[in-house]
Amino acid sequence: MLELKSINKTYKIGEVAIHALRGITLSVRDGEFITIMGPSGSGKSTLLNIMGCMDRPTSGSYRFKGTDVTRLKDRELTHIRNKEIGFVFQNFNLLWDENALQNVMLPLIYNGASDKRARAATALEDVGLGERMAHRPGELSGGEQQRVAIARALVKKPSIILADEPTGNLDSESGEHILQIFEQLNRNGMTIVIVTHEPSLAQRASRLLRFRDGMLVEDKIR
Amino acid sequence: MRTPLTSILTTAFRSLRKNPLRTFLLWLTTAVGIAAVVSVVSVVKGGTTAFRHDMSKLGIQVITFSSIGRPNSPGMLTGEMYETVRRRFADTGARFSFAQGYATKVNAVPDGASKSCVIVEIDDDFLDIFGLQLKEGDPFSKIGRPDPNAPVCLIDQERRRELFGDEPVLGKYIEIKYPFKSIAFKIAGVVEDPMSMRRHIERYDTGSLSRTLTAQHLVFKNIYVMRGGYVKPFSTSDILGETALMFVKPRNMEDIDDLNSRISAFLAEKDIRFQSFTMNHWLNSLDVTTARIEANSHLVWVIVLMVSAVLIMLMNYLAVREKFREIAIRRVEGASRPAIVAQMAAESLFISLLAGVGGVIAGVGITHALCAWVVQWPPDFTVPEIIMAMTLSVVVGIIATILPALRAAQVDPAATLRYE
Repeated sequence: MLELKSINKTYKIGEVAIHALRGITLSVRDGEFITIMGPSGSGKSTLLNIMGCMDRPTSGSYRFKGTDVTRLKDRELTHIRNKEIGFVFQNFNLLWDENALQNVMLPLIYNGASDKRARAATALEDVGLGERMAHRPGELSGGEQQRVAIARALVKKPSIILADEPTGNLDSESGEHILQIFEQLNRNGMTIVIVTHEPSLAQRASRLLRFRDGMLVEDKIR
Repeated sequence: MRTPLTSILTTAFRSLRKNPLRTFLLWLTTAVGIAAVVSVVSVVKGGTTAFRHDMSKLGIQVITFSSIGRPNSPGMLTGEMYETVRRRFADTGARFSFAQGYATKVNAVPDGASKSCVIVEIDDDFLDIFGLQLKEGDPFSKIGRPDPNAPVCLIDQERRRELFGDEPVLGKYIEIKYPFKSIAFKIAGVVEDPMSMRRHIERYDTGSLSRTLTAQHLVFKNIYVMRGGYVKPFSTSDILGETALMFVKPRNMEDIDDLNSRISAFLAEKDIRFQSFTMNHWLNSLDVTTARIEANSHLVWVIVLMVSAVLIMLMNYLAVREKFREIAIRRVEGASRPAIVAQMAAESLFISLLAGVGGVIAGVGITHALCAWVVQWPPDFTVPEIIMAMTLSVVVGIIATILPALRAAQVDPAATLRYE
């Protein structure tokens, strides 16, 4: 599904160049459950942003389902994000002034789906929040907010879910609940890539990618 | 993939509802600008329309011949010359009238009130030619044989109000002071003031009207005395100057230019020094004045709208900065840059339309209040101006939103969400 070849990403802060990624080459196959681990600043989130078409590599090639996305325009990358990629963030990144249902409807607004409400309601029920649709994020617990974010990611029926420290702001019980959702999704065929600091989560994935100083130092299939 | 228009409009509307204070402030800023446009334009237009209406009442079909100078000096238009012209051109069917105005230093003094004025000697034809009506009393022709030692006068409406207020005036006297002598004139009638804009002409005229001496006699506050109806108490050496006026009203409007040329040629042959005026002269003078006033008024509302636009732009910039995170989330989930710009433009459109309506309504109210209590002339609203105001509301809103919207579209979702 994803093919990255010799991906480099360099940021310039004043005169200083920060090499966030150095020569990353890897592939992601359909149905894989991948965890990405490494110390802070190792390039994990940068890689996730590139995989999610939110950022462009400085050099190298990246093919998403056979399409070289490094040559695409912003409009086309936006389209891929809207249709193919579900995002889950550490701090949930919900719209605070919208209720759960409206948050889940968000990607459907931008792709012109006709049955937005019904699909969003179904997605919320699938994550166990059928009774909480009218509640705003401020009225939900951390675990519930993350489940809303997962529902938002799922409602568009993506090809892949990219999660950046999805349990980082949750207690252990809520975090466990979230991981169980991911595992269930993967069992149903969803391709999932999670960035995490938690070794226990890495144990539950089928493949581990370890990064250090922008380089892929370990690629282990369990 | 293009975001459906309905989605953009719905999202924009919801965004406005989420922040009612910001929405209200944006609405208010635009509405104030539009109200200023409507009221300034309508008040000024009302004034210029009223000016024109008044001027047209002064005799749109009248040719005025005037001579200025010391009485009986060579080349002055005199009563005798007037009679000659009247006989010479009687076959044209035109109406003629003669008036003489004395620029002496006089005061009208009833019961202690003292005002300056101009004495104008007229005949009854003067009132007919200019369509002046008597609100009270009788014209000179009905008074009977004039007694030179017991002169009568007509005063105009505003002079009447100024000197007597609401008291009855017929039969009362006003005392006109000449050098070393005063004469009491009995008030025989009150002439309706055809010029509702008289005091505004005096206040706002830039000089082009005042320079028209004929207009002076019709603008200034006059006392009309009967020609030959009193013994002049002064010698010609006492008089600082005199304006002799001959008014000619052709039977048909189309005859004005021809009759003007013929009489002018006749007077020139007789070595009379004179100037001739038709309504066109006055209207041209008025056009210069009103064009200047209207140009200044446009400057006022342009400045107000520019200030509104800058304030709106500042508020939108601040709003965009507050919404970086929201914009980033929308961008991640599939909002394209044009969709972000379109959403902000739609918000601006909603507010601009509502502000345009509110501004027009407020502008109409302000105009009525200004016209009733301040300037005291009727407003002049026209549909093109209302449409212009609504259009300006939308244009200002959109222009003030462009830069903030473009900034919003440049939000980097990866950088923004990473550090939130």
